[in-house]
Amino acid sequence: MGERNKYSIIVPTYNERLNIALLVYLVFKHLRDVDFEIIIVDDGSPDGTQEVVKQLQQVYGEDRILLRARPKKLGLGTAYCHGLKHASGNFVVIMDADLSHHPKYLPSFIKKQMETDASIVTGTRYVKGGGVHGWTLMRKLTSRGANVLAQTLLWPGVSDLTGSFRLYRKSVLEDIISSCFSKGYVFQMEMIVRASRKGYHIEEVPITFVDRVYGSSKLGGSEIVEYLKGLAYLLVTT
Amino acid sequence: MKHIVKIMTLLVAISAFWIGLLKTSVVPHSHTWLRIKLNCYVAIFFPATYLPYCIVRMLRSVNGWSRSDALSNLSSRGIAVAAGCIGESTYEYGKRREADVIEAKEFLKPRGVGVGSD
Repeated sequence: MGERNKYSIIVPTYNERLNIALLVYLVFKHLRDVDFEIIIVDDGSPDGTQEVVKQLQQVYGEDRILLRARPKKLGLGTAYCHGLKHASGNFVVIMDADLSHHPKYLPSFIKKQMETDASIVTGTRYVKGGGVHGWTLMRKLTSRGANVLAQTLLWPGVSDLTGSFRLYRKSVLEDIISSCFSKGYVFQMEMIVRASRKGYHIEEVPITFVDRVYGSSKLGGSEIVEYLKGLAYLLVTT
Repeated sequence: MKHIVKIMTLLVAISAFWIGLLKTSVVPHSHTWLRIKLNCYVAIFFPATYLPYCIVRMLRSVNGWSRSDALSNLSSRGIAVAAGCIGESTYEYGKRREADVIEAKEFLKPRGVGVGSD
């Protein structure tokens, strides 16, 4: 599987010292017969994330794990752009470092792409076999409601807009990323909506989104406001 | 663009319907308070009708995601089922992930890599 293709896995990090080694271990465990590299874009984490990555480079090799650090937090979108510059694969996977995206799904992404020749394969919580784990009922309702609202306004043709576990053909990601302007949660949504509008072939695979192993994630009023502003922006501009 | 046209058409149709009702003189201009109340009802009408739509949409099948999946996804007991771990309880799911962490630690710690809370 994936003998002729090379996959560059871009992982933006900030204070992920506790998770990054687990993630790298699990990626290597689940992608045994695949040519891949992991590009870690660290935004100057003060917790020693980069030291752990350097230790991992000693174990797995600097050609398999690339540390492409930046001096400070510069945003998710630019982190992908930065990682993309150093990607040598013809496919790019983007995923979170906090293990909310389990590497065990990577083979199914690759398989789906090979079966369908899709330009994008996106992980979704909202198809059979997908779901979330470790969320409160309120958070599930908020997430599902936000997704329904976005589906109503944007008609994107994919079931999970805010997920960020995706596989892109490199040329497609380069094209889409150059036309996106949003930040934060909305950035992921803008990427998939613009890809849909541009007519790229998008496929979905079910994933289970799991709350992070170490650390905490937040969803507050300001995130919801930003989300609504992003929705309005996408409604007008796409 | 197609979806914008559709949404705008819908909003225009609803607005036209409401303006039409106001212009029919069913309510005399002298009944100011009644008119204000009716406008307040309209302001409530849109969210009140959208909410049931959202609920139906949330429970509607999306790409094969069935109504029962939606319900199990929202219930606490069905989390593991919705999470793709059919027949596996939340406790077992947590244990499985814990096993991943232990396995990674056993492999990486002897090789000098800082893992987890170590």
